[in-house]
Amino acid sequence: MREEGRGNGLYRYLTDDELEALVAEVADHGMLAPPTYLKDLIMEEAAKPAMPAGNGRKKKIDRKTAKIQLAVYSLKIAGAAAAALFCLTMVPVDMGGNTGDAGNRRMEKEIEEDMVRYREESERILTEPVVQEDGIGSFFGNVLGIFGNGREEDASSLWNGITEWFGNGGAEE
Amino acid sequence: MIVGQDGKRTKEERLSAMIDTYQGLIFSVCYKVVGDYFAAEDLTQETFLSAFKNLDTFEGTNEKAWLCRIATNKGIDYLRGAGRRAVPTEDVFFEQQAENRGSPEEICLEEEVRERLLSYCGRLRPPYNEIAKAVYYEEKKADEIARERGENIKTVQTQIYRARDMLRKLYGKERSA
Repeated sequence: MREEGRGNGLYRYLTDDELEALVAEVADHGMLAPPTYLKDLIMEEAAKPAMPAGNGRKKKIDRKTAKIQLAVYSLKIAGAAAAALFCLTMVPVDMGGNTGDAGNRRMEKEIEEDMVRYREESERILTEPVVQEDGIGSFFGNVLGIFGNGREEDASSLWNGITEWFGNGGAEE
Repeated sequence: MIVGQDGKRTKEERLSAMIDTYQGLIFSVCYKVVGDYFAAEDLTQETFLSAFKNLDTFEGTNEKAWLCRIATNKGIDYLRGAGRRAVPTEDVFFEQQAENRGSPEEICLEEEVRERLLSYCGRLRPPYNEIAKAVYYEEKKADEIARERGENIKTVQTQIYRARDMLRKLYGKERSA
């Protein structure tokens, strides 16, 4: 039994004399009735199987295993940090908040390029002189052009129509 | 007296006998030390469970002194715990012990505690107010209450535990305020 009045901050354990006095005092001057369910509660708790020693405690790990675990953990963290840095620095990110429209922007660019190409092609076709050496229409057009008053284009288009009507006169053969 | 196969009482039987004999004293000692009804209830429970655990190693003959020692030590540990500095400091505590000895306040302690409990019980919602009153003020057991109310004992037990939790909360709020 503890004899001492061991100090610990504000409270200390009672000495035997103090304990005796306290018990006598409680016994003499009216005891409090504990709640009626208290005994059942205690018996219930006591009936619960005691936890075997070591159960619930952490498994003891030796120093070497702990070091390996620490190294593996450090590697994982370093890998994650590197991946994060890579994502931050190497992957292009639209800082304007339009990160989700990358596909649309690519498509728009392609359309624009197609438009430019189409315009260039159209200009090229329009600027090139029309030379139609095949087909009966072309032949007569050229003939008329030679004898006409410089209206080669009109004659050519007229005879082109005729050529189409006749089925291109075997020029494809 | 119930005895085990080897003619000796089992640990559970010894515990049961100890509770029957000393629960009032231990509860009162705990209450005297901590001044909190529900903390005293917990400490009484802990005291008996601790005694039960160490029953095999107990070689003394004075069970009463042993239990009271466990109870007071647990009470002091409780007071040392964080957040319970509102209770009297060491010197004040022992001074109060000396001053209260035999005083009319001391004599009426039980009545005072019961009255206070009754007022707390009245603040609970039905049916917990009636259940709490029956348990804490009228000191009735669960089976008695179940018989009187014509209810299943399990239902009453559940209601008692709920009422106890509500009272604890009320009590705690009041003490911290």
